[in-house]
Amino acid sequence: MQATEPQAAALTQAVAHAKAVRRIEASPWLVPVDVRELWRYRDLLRFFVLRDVKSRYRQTYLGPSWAILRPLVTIVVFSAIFGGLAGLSPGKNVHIPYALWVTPAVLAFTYVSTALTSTSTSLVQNSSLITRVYFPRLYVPIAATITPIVDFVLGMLVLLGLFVYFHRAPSWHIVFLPAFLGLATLVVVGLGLWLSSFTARYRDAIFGVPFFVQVWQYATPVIYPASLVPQPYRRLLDLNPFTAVVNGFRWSLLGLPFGSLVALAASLSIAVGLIVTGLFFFRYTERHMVDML
Amino acid sequence: MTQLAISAHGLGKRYRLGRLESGFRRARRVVGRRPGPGHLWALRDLTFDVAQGASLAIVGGNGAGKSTLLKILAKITEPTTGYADVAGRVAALVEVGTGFNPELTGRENVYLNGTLLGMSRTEIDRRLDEIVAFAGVDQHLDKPVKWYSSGMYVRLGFAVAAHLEPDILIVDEVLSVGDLAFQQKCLGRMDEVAQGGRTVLFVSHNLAAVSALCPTAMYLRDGQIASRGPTREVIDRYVDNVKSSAHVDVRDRLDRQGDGRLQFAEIRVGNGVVRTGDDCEISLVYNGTPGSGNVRLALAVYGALVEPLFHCSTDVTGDAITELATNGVFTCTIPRLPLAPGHYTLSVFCEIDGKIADWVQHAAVLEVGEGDFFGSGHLPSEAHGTFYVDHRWSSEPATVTSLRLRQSAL
Repeated sequence: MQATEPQAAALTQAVAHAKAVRRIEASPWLVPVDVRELWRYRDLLRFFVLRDVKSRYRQTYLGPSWAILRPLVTIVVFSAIFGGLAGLSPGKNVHIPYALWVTPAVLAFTYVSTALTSTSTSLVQNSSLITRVYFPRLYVPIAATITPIVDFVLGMLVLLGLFVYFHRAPSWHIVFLPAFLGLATLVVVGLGLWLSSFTARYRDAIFGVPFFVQVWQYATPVIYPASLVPQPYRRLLDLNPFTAVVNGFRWSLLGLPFGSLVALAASLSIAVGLIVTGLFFFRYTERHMVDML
Repeated sequence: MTQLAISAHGLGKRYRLGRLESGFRRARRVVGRRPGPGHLWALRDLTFDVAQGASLAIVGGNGAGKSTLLKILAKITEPTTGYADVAGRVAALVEVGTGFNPELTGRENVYLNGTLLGMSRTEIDRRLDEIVAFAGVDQHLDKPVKWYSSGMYVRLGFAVAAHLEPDILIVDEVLSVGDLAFQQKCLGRMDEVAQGGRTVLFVSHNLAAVSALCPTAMYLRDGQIASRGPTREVIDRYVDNVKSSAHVDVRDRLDRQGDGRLQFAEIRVGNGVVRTGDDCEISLVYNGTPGSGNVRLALAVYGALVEPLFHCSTDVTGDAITELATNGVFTCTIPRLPLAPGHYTLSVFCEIDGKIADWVQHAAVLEVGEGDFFGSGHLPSEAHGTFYVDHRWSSEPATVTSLRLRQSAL
């Protein structure tokens, strides 16, 4: 039934009561996360991940074998240069070949590096979607941190190969590996919320993040053991949120001592802090995102 | 009692002009106390209501704020001032197949697209068969859409959106895609949606579709409501407002395409108003130094509802133009103009050596006055059509030969 114009004009007040009425207006500075809306759109996360996984290696010659090749080449280079030429050892009383010792850390950092790079540019990558339809945009950077987990799982094949090669077996601690991968994801999500919102306005992260991740790797005990770092600086190393991730990976896969629990506490609190502040910053940017993308 | 679906109060949207400054530039500007980049109000103080179940068309020229309004109502972007109360679920169809990914299968894309548009999984499950039947892609549902033809792609995209069940459906210029039959199907579907008691907001340049679908319309000009009321009246005001002088300056038109080797500056139609049946000269004055090349020119004429009427181009006349003067004039002569009195719009197009040099759509309005096309002093009534063609009538007795001829023709 069509309402005629005079009828509509007569109804100056009160929008229909039968349906949920939503007010569209400029939001305040601090916008809380709309959990109900996120729940309503929950399938979106699954489809974003599915889409990214399926299109990640399209039109590449090597396809998903890139996920194995990247860590493999890194491990070979690190073992040759740092384990061989520089003669770095995993530490006293650690009887594990350098190549095997470095692998869990390389796998962890390959994930961190891929996830940080893709999450920081995720809003720009999805700008055609964001400017055409409304949906909770939070799922965009979050999906970008989840997709590289598929690569990580494929990369585990390298570790499996090394275990076979060196006639070793993983520690039973391996059941805790997902927890440490989860910790890495939390830190990356926290950073990703900040970086992706910032990238919506200024594209510096496109150049900055790959470089910054590379530097960060040297500030994390990936190629050298933490025991090599003299005391006052070792405390500082513990404040790096990825130190606990790398230690955790070595603990769960190789059964090495975990080291300082301070690092774990620092990592967890930094992750939570980044996520909470990142959510507010993301929601703050979300208001004008569309006009800047 | 009729209830409201949308109630907007003082809606406004301001955009920053120009590009974002780099930190370095900004610091220099702040230190040098120079003013920042300016702002532009795309929408200003819009207050209106839309009743539940109404179909409202939004018309207006480029940059009038139509798309901005739709984006605000669809929550894609936020207003700078004012507010709008919206009852129920809103679905916006700004582009067919938003978020379609070539690597995903048709089925996966239906789910992704449907979720993006706010449908739940169970809702999509329930409507999947209908969507697939509407799009006619059932055999290809589990193939990646990169193997789809562009027609299939568009059909599937529209089908998902068409089977949403929003309380308010916002449609922006999506009917310009697909073949004619599919466009008819889409229009039919939108009519069904509107008849089903849902509210439809419809933006289109296709004024014929607008008037078929929406009983009322709102005309936006420079971000403000210029007129609102029955669609016919609003469209008349809109068409009247498009400049209708004999000399139209198109130098300031920004919505043009081409590499600019030459740019149309002015369009002149005869000496003022042309009359039906007169020889009509349309001159296109251009600026630029295009030199020489293989030139294709075209002039398209549209009716009051922006439906294409005819096309004058060098492709069909075979006129060869190869040497171009600096700042020259192209002239197109139409002998015995066969158009009925009324308003028509012109689009102008120039291509040099296979590349578009300049193309301005709806560049000018052609005003045709009454004249003596048939040389008889009579013109048919307007209701009988827009075009006049030469013809003659005669009569003769039905002879044996003429009957036999007719039979052999069968």
